[in-house]
Amino acid sequence: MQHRSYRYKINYVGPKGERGRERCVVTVHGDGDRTIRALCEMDDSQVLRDVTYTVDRHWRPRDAFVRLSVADRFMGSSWFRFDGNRAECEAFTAAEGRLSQRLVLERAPASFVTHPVACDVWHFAGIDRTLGDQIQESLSASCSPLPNGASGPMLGISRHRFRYRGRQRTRSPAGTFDTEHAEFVGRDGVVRLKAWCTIHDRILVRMEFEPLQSVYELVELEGSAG
Amino acid sequence: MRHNTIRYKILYLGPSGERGREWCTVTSHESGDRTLRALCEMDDTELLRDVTYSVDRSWHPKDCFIRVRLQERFVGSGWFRFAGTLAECETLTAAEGRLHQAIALEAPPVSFINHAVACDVWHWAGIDLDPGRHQVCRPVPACSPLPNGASGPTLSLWPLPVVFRGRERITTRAGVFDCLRATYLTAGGEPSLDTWCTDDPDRIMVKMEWPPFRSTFELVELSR
Repeated sequence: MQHRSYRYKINYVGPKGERGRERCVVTVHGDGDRTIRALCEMDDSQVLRDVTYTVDRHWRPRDAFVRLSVADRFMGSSWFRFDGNRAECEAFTAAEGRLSQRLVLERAPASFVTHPVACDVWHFAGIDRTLGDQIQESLSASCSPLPNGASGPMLGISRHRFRYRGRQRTRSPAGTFDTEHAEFVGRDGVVRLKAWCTIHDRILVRMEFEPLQSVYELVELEGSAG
Repeated sequence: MRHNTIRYKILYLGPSGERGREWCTVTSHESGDRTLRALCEMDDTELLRDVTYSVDRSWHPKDCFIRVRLQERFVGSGWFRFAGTLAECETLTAAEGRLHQAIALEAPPVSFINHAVACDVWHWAGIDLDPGRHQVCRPVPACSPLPNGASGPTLSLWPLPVVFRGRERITTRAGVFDCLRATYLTAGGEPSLDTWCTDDPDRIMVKMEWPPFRSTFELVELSR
């Protein structure tokens, strides 16, 4: 096979210890496309999520599949597709039934919030790294407005505000990595989330999310990661 | 979490040795629903397929996502849903563009051919375990009419004549397993694909032999 692949595992850690985990397999292709398969388990909120998400060489969304259950009950199964500034969703959710959505965004979305934490560090792939501490805003599509994404997957819009913090050497249980660091900043100027990821493959090494009192750590990595 | 998880790996073997592999993760849920995630690689044809497939307690299809690349080119990304006698597909393929398909079946589908070999032993979950009697699994929608599934994904129908062979003990690199054996037949009634799966509620593919394509499929890793 011509593609390269790597696998990793992220642990969700709360005040009482491990509260979930995410297993990811990523393939990277000759044309720059990249597909992640993420299986996410949250023990406390009993969320089980499957995501298969493909981006282009610029980390912009191509298509995605999201399937979700909460407390072992089906919440939804949905397919998303992106073409320029158009986004579409074909969904079947427990709450809404069968629905089709078409959105025309003001511009092509920079990313798609599918809710694996592995992809949270993909959202700021396109930020301008020359702007220092200046806050930058980007437009993304989203499959759920909830912090843990635990609603039937449907299309929405999400606006992120980032502050780029530069490169750092970051440790996790999987090792020590050269990373870039960015913060997600709320409209009130408060930092909501701090994230560190590897430079080329944007593998989440560490993330801190104060609203859920959670830390996310890379605990296993194998394969051909760059 | 309330669900149970099984992980396994299947090797695709040809006359020259390993020619592909399939990593599977299956979760089974209190409702009886089961979801399989399969990542399939075929080295010789350069096929990469993602399948996320959910079935109910009777192994009948609920929904499925399939994404296919061939020789590093996008072939298609499709989503399938099954409700009663309705089978529908929303898909984007390199060959056909954006398609919506809806098929009214003669009866609720008994299975769905998504081309992950792990699921080839799920199609005959509902047959009578009556050795030697020819039966037909139908209706069975499929995502591709090609033997390796390297098209679409789009909806079509694929009746599956099958004969139950009995119970056998099979040894693979993953261990020794008590199995159920069944053989798919051609339209003319000739043996085509011989299959063995665990004789337990999980129906894990242990071995398959496919003489027309000189291929064997073998369970090599299992964690449950």
